[in-house]
Amino acid sequence: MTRENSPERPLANVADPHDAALSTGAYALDALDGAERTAFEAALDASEELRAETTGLRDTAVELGRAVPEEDPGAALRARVLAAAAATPQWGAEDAEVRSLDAQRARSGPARVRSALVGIAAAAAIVVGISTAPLLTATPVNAMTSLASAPDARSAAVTTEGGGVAVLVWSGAQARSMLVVEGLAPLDADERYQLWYIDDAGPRSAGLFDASASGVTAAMLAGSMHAGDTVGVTVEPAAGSEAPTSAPVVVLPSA
Amino acid sequence: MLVAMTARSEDRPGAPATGHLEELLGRVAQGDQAAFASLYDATAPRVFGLVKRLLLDHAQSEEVTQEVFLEIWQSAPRYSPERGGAVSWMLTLAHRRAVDRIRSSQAARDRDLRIGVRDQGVDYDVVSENVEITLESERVARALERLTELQRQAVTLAYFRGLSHREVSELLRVPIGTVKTRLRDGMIRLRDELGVTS
Repeated sequence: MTRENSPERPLANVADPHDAALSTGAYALDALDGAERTAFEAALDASEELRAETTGLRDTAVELGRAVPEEDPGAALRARVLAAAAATPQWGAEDAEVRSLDAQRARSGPARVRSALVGIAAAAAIVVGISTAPLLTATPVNAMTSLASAPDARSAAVTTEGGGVAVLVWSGAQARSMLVVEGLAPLDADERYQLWYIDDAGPRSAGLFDASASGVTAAMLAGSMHAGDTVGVTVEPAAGSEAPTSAPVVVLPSA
Repeated sequence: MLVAMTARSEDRPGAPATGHLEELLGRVAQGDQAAFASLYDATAPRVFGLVKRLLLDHAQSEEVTQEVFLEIWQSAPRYSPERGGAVSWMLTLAHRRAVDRIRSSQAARDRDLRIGVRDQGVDYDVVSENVEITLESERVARALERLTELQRQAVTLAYFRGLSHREVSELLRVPIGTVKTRLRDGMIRLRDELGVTS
């Protein structure tokens, strides 16, 4: 990873409204890259006007898709698909309250979120307890339970590029947050995931962590969360970086 | 660069009777595998056609189509008809998955593009050949013809070839801000020509 990648995909402009307003067409055509797409979806959540235009352009893109001639994929694929479905559990409708377009961004009141999250966080915390790195110093199980059950706990969720769900849980009163990510890929030994709090002043490190082998990774963020911070995750050299050096793999706004 | 569109058959009036598909999807959300099989039979040629249009490669298109249907199966409980019809939801998902697959071999692709851009003659031939698309819908083909040349090129390269706005910018030698703007005003024009209401 080199620094020269970062100017192209700055973390700091995740919700730049001017850029977002011009990106509705590109988004509807899936012409934004992963990081920009996530950033655009964050901006979408903040603007009804943006959502309305994007929905219309999305529907227009579907018209292009419908105009493509059909093609029979063959009987073998059908058998594989049906077998795969039979062996795959469905996601619960309650896991996330889908609100905006296909971003699968969820946000709901504390009570509803807590019941779903205490379970996932508790399961993940056990893994974190074993694998957590020195930078994440809080006792994960207690801190996570306390955070998830805080009276003012809020959460937001996005679907990651790999198709998993990433959930950010935060409490304004505790000024803390934790991130639970499904299906985060394990990294090579010389790299680690780094957490960032991002605000108008730019990103500040919130610690390093590793993906858990269980498939669900939970991490408490180090340092204080400020109201409205966006949380990002990047892949960095094992020692961590002072500023992000790669495009974020997860971006979650808390505004 | 010429973007040619061929309308292969007359429009079928409106979308097919979609109420049935939404109903199937509702049963899929309850874990009904027979309903999932029916949904697959009704929509797989459309999904596969779009995915293959983007990926070209048959084996990769099969893989991505399988991913798409597995995601449909898994996330059916989260589908809500208020957010759009079943086919819209499925095609949106399919397009994104196909584009993600294209991007996952981004390094090789970037290299190809750079080579293409460096060798202008080759590049333009390749582009015009690949962008010639066959559309089943004369209505959509006509609407595309109403766009400016740059709008049409940008929209077509993005949607039917899965290029990012950066790649479109490189390929057409147009600043990236201009590409974003053309994608937006081109899609707005298309939306209005097609009478899409949301």
